[in-house]
Amino acid sequence: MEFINLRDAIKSTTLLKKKGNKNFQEIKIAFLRNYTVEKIIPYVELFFLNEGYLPKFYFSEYDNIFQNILNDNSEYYKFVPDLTILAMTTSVVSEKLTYNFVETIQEDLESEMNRIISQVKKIVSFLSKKKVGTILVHNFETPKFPALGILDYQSKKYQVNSFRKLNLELTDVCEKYKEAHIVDIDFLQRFLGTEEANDRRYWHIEKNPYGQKFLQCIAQDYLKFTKVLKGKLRKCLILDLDNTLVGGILGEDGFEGIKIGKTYPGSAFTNFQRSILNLYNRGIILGICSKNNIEDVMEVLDKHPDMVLHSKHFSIIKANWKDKATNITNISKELNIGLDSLVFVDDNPFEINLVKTKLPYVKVIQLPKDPTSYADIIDGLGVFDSLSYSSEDKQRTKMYQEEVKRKNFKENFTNLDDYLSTLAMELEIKKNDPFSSPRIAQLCQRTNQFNLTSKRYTEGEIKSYIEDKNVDVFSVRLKDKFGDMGIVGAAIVKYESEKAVIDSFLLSCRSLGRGIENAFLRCCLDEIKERGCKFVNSYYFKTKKNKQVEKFFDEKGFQLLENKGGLEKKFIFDRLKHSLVESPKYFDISI
Amino acid sequence: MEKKLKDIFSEVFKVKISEINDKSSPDNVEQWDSLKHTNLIIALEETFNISFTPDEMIEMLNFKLIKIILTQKLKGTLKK
Repeated sequence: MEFINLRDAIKSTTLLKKKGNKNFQEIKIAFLRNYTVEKIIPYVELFFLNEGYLPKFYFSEYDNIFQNILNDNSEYYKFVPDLTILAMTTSVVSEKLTYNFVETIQEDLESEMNRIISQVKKIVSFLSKKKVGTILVHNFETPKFPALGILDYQSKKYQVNSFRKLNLELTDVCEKYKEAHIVDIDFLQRFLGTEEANDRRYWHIEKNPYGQKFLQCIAQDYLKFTKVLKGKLRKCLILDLDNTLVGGILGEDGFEGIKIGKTYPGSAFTNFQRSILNLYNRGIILGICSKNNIEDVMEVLDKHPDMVLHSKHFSIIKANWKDKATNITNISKELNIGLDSLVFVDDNPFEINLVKTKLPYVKVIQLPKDPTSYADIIDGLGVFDSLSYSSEDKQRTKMYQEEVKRKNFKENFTNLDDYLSTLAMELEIKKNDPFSSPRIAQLCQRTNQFNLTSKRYTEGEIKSYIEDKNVDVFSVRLKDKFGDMGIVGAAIVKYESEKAVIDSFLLSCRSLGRGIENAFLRCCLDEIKERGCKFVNSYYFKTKKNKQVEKFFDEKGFQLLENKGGLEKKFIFDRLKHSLVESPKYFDISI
Repeated sequence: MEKKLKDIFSEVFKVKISEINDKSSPDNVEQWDSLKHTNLIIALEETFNISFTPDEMIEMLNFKLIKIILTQKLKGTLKK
């Protein structure tokens, strides 16, 4: 991680604020804390502004968390936070555990730990009920020097391991509440080094335990959470081959001459590939963009005995002599993944510069000369982070590969309906299925193009909608003869007496072009009718990316009620007055 | 040194350099609160590559005192 000094942070922040004026998205961050965290402001401001977010802050009184959350009229609730950060440092939470560990008897230590955990549990469960949005819980940093010296490490009961146990229990608490997540302060401290992470002077002067670099690490983590919550995810990693995936130049060094394997320098590339394989297993789409002959690249991928990654791991391979900006544009089109969801990695500054200049939305990573650092660069990127993991993630590459097969198959047909009817498509529509909630939340967070309102719900919010009798959550799963695409769309309908409101309606872009939207909308409208609702309201909220659906409701027979300059459109649909969308006949639908 | 100090002052407290004088203090500089005070100290430490003691931090009550403490500190580093 690169660090910035405070003056530069302040200067850059002032500049960014001047430049960006009104284009920033406001993020309200509330700190419920028992120590001084205000020094983090300049770094949060800088990191957030860099990504287009304008942070606003609220800080609770010191050690006054319960008063803040129990009082409905508190400044905390008036602030209406997007993020609530529960920042408690152990030395304030428990002097016993911190300073009097050795003299305190085991029973008292245990009851002290139970007290702390139940306190956090109370706060988190209370806030979860209040629906304050996302809650980030700092865990506790293990002490710089253990109370019993080297003996301390010898038993689970001693100080360092007691803190570790406390942190494990804290994780259990947060796991139970979908809106609560851990910020691993102890990990970040270890990453930076305890010596650097703490600054005792500020602790004694102003009750602030952390040094400047540590605050920057923490601020970076807040940003990662925010990006996930706002659906700003990178989905696809595109890699160069020569001196990136393998050492050496395939065209010059040949199949036997490239470096990959168990000994240096090949071992560095092996570890780099292992890191990439880890991303693959997390559901990140991989691609190759290399200036080579395609036959040579395929031979290395599938025949070289030391390769970790093989052709089956890549959804797309572009090995040719076209410029890389053109190739990456084509990759984006063929996979139907936006340029702002791509990351491109290359060792060659010329290629990096070209892509950076021509395709500014693509995140580029310039690899340094030393290949032993490659794996850490990938592991530490953080741009692929997500807060959910579903079975679809593991199969994503297969799905994208099937998509390429579909495209080839499609080229044999001149009539689209003929083509679609040969696909043997099955739609499985489910209503309020709790098992689908991780995937629905993920779709809410990831889907940009076919998304009418772009509301970014978390898994916790989806779960509570599923339980809510006045809300229906629909999901649609698509299968065809090429494979199972999993859940590709979702809709959320809220009921208010005789009125239904389509709160969200979205479909993954890889499922488009088959008329699913018609079948799915029709199915939702039929379900709404079953509920006895007389009319339906729906909305279109314009974003930078959902232009393709701006006329969706107009075209499906809904009547426009309000139009705020194309930015916000409100519709009404009445079965008795308006024509009902037809579901295509080639679907086999089950509900 | 004084020029650099004034630059930092103006960046941290968002005041014009011409408005800074020996008597500038939390009483007459609007943005000079405890948080900004810490920011000033950090900026000085980073810029001059020094580390203040807690006593020095607390004594920095106005521009003149900061100048004195900083001068002493810089002399000290030179000797070493």
